[in-house]
Amino acid sequence: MSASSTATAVIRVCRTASRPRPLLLPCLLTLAVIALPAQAQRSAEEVWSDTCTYCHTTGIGPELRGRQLPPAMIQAFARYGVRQMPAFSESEISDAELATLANWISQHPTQANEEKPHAAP
Amino acid sequence: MTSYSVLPAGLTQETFGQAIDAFRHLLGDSQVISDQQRLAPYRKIMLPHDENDHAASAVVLPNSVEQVQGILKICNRFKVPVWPISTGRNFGYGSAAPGERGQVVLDLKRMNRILEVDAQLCTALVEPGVTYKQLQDYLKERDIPLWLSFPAPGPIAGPVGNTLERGEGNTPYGDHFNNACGMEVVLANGEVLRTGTGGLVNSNSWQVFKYGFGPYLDGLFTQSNFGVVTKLGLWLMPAPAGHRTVLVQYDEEQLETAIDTLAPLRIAGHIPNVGVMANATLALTSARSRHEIYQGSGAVPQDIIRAEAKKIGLADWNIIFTLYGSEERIAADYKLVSQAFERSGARVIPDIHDPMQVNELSLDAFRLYNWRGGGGSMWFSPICPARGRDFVEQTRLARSIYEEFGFDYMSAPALSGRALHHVMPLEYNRTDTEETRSAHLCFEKLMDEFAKRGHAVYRTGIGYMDKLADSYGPVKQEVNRAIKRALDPNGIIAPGKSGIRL
Repeated sequence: MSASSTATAVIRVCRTASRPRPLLLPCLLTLAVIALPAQAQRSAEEVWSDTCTYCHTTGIGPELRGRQLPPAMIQAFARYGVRQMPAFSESEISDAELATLANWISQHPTQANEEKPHAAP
Repeated sequence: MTSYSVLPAGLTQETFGQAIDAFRHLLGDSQVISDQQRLAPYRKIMLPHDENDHAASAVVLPNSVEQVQGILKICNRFKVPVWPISTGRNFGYGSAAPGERGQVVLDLKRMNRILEVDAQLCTALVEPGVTYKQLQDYLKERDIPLWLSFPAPGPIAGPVGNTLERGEGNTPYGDHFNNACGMEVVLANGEVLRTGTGGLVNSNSWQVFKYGFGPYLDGLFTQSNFGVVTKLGLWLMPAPAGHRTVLVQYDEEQLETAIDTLAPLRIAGHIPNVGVMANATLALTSARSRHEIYQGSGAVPQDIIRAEAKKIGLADWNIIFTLYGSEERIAADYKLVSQAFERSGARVIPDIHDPMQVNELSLDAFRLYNWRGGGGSMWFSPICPARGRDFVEQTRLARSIYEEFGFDYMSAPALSGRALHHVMPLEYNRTDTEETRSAHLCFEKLMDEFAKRGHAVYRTGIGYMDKLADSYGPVKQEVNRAIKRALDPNGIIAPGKSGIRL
């Protein structure tokens, strides 16, 4: 079987008109064509939610919002990683997404009830 | 002519330039990375190696099986080695960096389609770039009551890479390879193999029956370099009616008893999940950093560790597992296991929270990296028979070596069943040259001393794979080499992975 035919062979049509109880679904739920997060540009909030929030709102990494950090610095930290922070390649966060994210973080107002202690040394 | 600062071994500027041109023709300019600034994210490692020894010459970013086939064709033509990654989150084992300088990273992140989810038989079929978060979002958006099992970097890592490395999670489906079913593999010659029953035209059982007919091949494509896996079937856990997570605590002198009490409960299935066990130092990392409790050099003294742990309710050894199911079932299981532990002298504390055991994505485990700071972290990962005396021997041996080099011994065995995955992080300050060198020497001594005593290591990072492969003996290496020669005669797929070369 060629690769192109194998790619289509696994795509099946799903009959999900109304949301039945999932365990009783008689079919496969399938994504034939979906928006690919790594290819369709996400909003800053989406990237924040998908990735940053796990460390930067939990005290694992420092809170970034409300500090007017320079966007270029935010981009450099995210792209290359610093100390224990991982690097995020462009296949994970595109240049355009990262630029939008950095501006969003930089301009995000301080929210006292979201402030968390800085855990990273 | 463009000059490349890093080249694959044995290639000239001219030949590599021709290969890059061919990659660009196949993938488009933007999907071939060869300038050093754009390659920098792939150099970031936590291991104590010189990043230059693992610098990629380029990165290629396919978005389809056909493009992977095309890439391998170009690699064969120009003898370019590629290092496949899925999400590149193999932290403490090499992250996204290639095993050898000059290899081209084959980054599969753009292949991130969730191809099927069968809510009735609880299976999924995904591509390598799919993350656990993406898959979990997909299930939640559709109200599909299936759980995932994920490793510590769950939100940003993915099931294909972790399963192929034979990683573990913490639910009853925590043995990830055991819960994989059916692979699609692009071989070095460009042919596409589907394992299990996937070779049948229109197979309707690819994700439900592993073995197909004839030899069971899937294991050959884990921790190996025999092909590029482009699709993987997963078995997913039906969401339980309820769950109860339990903490069981023992003192150091009770350690042998702890394991000998735990193991039969796990093997019999009364403890159903791949729970975790953490010594006091590792558990402390969830709440403290090293400099908060100790400013001296060398390992933090045990009396300080014990006192700090006690302040926040932690013991020398902390076992965390979860019971799942109906209220009645959980009550019955809890009675059985709690009585067994209490009879052995343990303290049993019900109703604690461990996100990884109950399908909650989190990076809480990354607090570990704040313990020492400085971005140095590596995993020493021996297997230990689930017998008290064996575990005590491993902990004593490991602790003595860690402390000899001035590091804090941390232990986080996964409760796998008859064996424990006795994974131990080695945390160090990678910005300190001397400490980085010590971490490397410590790790090598751990490998040597464990191998001498017959303690097998199940996984290791780049830069240590040859050494680990050596410990498994020459016959296994020769068999691996023979398979490699047969499937990849030009040695283009990840030479050196798991110590396997032509």
